[in-house]
Amino acid sequence: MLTRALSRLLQTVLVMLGVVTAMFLAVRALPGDPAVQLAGPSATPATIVAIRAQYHLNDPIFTQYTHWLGQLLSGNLGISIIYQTKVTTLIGQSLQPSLQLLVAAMVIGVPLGVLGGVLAATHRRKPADLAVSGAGSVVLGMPAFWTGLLMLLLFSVKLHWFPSGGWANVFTNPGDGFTTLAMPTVTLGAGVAAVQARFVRSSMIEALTGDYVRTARAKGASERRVVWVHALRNALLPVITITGIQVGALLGGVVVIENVFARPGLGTLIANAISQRDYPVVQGVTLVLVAVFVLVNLAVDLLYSVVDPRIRH
Amino acid sequence: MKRVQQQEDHGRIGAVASSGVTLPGGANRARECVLDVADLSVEIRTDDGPLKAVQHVSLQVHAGEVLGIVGESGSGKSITALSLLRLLPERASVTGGSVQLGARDVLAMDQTQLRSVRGAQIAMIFQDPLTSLNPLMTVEHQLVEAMRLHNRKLPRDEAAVRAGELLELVGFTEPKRTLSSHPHQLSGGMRQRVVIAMAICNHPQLLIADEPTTALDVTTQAQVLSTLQKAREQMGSAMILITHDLGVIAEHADRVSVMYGGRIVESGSTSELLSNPRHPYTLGLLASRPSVTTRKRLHSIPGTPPQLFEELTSCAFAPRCPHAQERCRTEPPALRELAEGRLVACHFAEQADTWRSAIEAEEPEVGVDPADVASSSAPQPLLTVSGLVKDFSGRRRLFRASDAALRAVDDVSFQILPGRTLALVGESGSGKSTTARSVLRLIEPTGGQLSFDGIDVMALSGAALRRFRRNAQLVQQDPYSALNPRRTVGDAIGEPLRVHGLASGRAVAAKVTELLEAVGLRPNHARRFPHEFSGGQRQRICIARALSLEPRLLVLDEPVSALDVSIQAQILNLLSDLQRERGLAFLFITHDLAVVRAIADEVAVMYRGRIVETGIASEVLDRPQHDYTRTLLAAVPDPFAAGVGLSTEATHAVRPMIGQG
Repeated sequence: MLTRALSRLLQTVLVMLGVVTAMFLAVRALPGDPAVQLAGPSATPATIVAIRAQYHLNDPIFTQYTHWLGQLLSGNLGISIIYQTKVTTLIGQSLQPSLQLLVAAMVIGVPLGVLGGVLAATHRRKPADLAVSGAGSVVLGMPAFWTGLLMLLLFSVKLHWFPSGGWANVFTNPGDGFTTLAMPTVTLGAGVAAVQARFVRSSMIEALTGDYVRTARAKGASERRVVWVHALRNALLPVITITGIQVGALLGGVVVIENVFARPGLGTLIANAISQRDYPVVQGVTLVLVAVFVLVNLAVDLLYSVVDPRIRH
Repeated sequence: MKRVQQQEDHGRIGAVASSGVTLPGGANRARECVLDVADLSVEIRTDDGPLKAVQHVSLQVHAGEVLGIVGESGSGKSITALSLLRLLPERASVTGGSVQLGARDVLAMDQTQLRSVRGAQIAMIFQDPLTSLNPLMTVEHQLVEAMRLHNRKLPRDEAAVRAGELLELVGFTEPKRTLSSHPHQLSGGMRQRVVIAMAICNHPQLLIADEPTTALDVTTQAQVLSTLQKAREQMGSAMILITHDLGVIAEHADRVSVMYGGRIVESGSTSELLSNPRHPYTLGLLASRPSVTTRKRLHSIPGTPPQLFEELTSCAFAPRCPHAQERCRTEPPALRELAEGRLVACHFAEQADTWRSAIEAEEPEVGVDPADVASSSAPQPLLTVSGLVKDFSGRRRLFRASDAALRAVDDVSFQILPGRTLALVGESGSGKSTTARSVLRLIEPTGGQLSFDGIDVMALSGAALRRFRRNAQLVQQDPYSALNPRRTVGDAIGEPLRVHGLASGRAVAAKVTELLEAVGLRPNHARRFPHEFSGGQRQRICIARALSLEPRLLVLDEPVSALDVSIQAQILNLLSDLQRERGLAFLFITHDLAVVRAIADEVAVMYRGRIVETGIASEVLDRPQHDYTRTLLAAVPDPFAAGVGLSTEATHAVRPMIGQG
C-alpha cells in the first residue's frame, strides 16, 4: 500500500513536470510580445529592447527554461510582467475564491448526481428515470456560461436575491461568502451532477444485474438494502475514477464561470494574463491548476484501492 | 378447447403424482410435501414476442429428498428455479400456476412475507461462485448478514462465531482466516462452499441449487457436491438440484424430472429413469453423453432445442425425434402416468424398449490398437514438441524485487502423428491452453523445440511463420466470442483464404460454400451474421474457418465445453468425420475425460504445467498409473460406470469421493 502510494506520487511529479514544460513552450509559441504589451503603445523600440533584456526574453529558450525551472524548485514562480508583483502573491490571493467554488460545486454536484443516478437506475424507463435523464440532458446541453448569464439576469438583475459578482471568504464572512458563492456553485454543480448521474445510472444498472445482487435478494435482503448496500458500493467503483476526471473539467469551468460572475479567482487571473501575454502568471496558474488536478486524481487512485479489496491485495 | 382440457390434465396428474412417490431406500411411505409447484408457466419478453420459457410445470419436493431437474440450456430449468423464489430477471414473469410452501402460495406473497421466506425457508445456491458473492464484503460480513436478516436479535459477535462453525461444517480448516477474507482471495471451490454455508445458515426446509458445480473443475465439483450433501443432511433440508449433467443427477438425486422446451417430459425415481428411460429425448440425452469407460460413435440428437413462442400444437421434440409419427406433429402429448410416480409426455412411450435396444446394438468403436502404434511401421510424427517451457513474467515493482515469474508450461514434450488425435487433458490452470497457444506460436514459448513435419517452427519468422500457420489452425472454446459479430459468416470463413492470397472473388465464395456443407451448414448461411446462429452452429462455423486453409493440424482448445451434451455429440461426430475424410491431426484440449475416450487416440494428462502421464487413450483411462489421473477419473460422475451404454442395471451406485475439505 505504501509502496503503491510512493510510486504513484513519483508518477505524479513526472506528469506535472511534463505538463509544465509543455505549457512553458506553448506560451512562448503564442504570437505577441510581452515587452510590447508592457511598454505600451507609445514606446520606442529602444524601450522594448531594454524590457526584453530585463526579463531575459532574449536568452535562448533552453536557458530561459532552466532558469525558470530552477526558480520553480525554490518556490519562486517569478514576477508578473504586468502587475509587477510576485506571481505567488497573485496566486495566493486568487486561490481561495477558486478552491471554495470548486469544492462547493463538487459537494453539491456529486451527491446529487449519485442520488439521481440511483433513482434513474432503479426506476428504469419509468417517469423518475425520464425526469433525471431529461434534466441531465438539458443541463449538459446548455453551456455553463449561458446558464450563468441567465441566472444573473433572473436572480440578481430582476429579483435582486444575489449579488451579480464579487466574492467573500465563507469562513470569515459566511453571509457574503455564501451569497456570492450560490449562483456560480449551482451553475457548475448542475453540470457535475448531470455527468455524475449518467455514469451512476449505467453503472448501477449493470451492478443490479450482478449475481451477487441476486444472492442478496435470495438471502432475504430488502430492496433498499440490495440497492444501497450491495449494488451501490460496487456501482460507485468506476464512478470514482470519473469523479477525479470531472475535477479537471471543473477547473476549466471555474475559469469561465469566474469571468461570468466577476469572481476574482484563478480563472480571472489566468484569463487576463493570457490576453496580456503575462508569461510568468500564465505559467504559475497553470502549474497550480495542474497540481490540483493531478493531486485530486492521485487521491482518487488511492481511494480506489482503499474501497476495492481486489486492488488492495 | 382441447388446450384447456390439457392444462387441467397436467394439474390433475401432478396431484396424483404427489400422493405416492417412490422414495429412496424403497420405502413407499408418504412424506410431508415441502414445496408443491402446480402448473407453473413463465414468459420472457423478447424482441420476437413473449417466449414461453416454462409451461405447465408441476413438481413436488418432499422433506429430506433431493429432486433433480435435468435439461439443456433453454429448457427452462433455471427459470423454473428462479421463479420459485420470484428472483426472475425483469423481463420474465410468471403467467400462471402456484408455488405452495406449506399452506402459503409464494407467488401471492407480499414483499415482506417473501423476504421472510427467502434465505430462511428456501435458500438458493447459484451457478457461478466467482460472481455470486459481493466482491467488496468479507466472507464474515456476508454470512453474518444472511443470519441477521432473519434474526435481528442475534448479536453480531454471536453470529460471527456461528459463521465460523458453518465454515468448518463446509470443510474449511482455517475458518477464522476465511471469515476475514474477501471473495477474490478464495478459489472457486472455496467460494462455492461459502455460498453453501450461507444457504444453510438459517436451517432452510429447502435448498435450490442451480448448476452448483458447472463452473468448477471435476475434482472440485466432487468435493463441493459431497460438501453440499453433507451440509444438507445435517440441516435436514430437501433440495432441488438443477443440472445439465446426468452423472451428477445419478449420484445425488433421489428423483429426477427431465425438462425440454419449457416442459417436463419425463420424471421418475433416478435409478428407474436412468436405466429405463421412456421418452426419446431422455434416451437421446443418455446416448449422446460420451462415456469414460466405453468408446463408441456418439448418438447425437439432430437439430437444436426449440424456442417456443406459441402454445404447442405438436410434440416439442418431434422435429428432432427419430421416432416421430404423424400423431406427434398434430397433437401435443400430455404428461401421463405410466406407473406410480413415473410420468412421461410421449404418445409412444411404450415402444421405448425397442428404441433402446437399437441404440445398444451399436457396436463399440475400437480405438487405436496399442500394438499398431508400437510397431515400427508407424509414420513420422507431424508435430514434435520437446521440452516446451512458457514463463509469464511477474509484475515489475518500483521499490521491491519484481514478483517471481510463473512457469505455466514446464518441460512439456509430446508427438502427434498425421491423422491422429492427441488429447491434452487437465483442470483449469494446468497449462493446457498455454501449451496449445505456444505450439502455434500465438504466444512465444520461453524455451523448447517445436518441429512440424521436419521444420523447426521456433526458427520461423515472417512469411515462413505465416506458411506454417496455414498448416496448423486453431479452434477456440467459446464460439460466441470467437467470431466477429459485425462480419458475415462468409467473410469469416473466406478471410483466411484472402489473407494468404489463395483465392479471390468467385473462388472464395465457392470454397465457402464447400466448407459450409462440409460442416453441416447450408450455403446460404454465408450471408448471415453470427448472432443468428446457436452455439453449436457457431462452433461449426469456427471449424469451417479453421479448415479453409486445408491445414494438416487442428488445435482444438476445449471446442465442446461451452455446448450442451446433445450438441457436443454432434460436434464430436463432425470432428471425427472430418478427421477421417481429410486426414487431419488433432491436438484436442479438454478437461473432460469422457470426451477423451470419445475422440482421442493418445492422451497426455497435464497437472501444474507438467505432463504427468501419457499414453494410448484407452490404456490410460483403463489403467491409470499416476495418482492425479486416478483422482480425475474417480471424480467423473458417470451414470453408466457399470457397463455399456444404456445398461438396464440400476447404476445408482455409490462412487468413491475424493478427499473432503
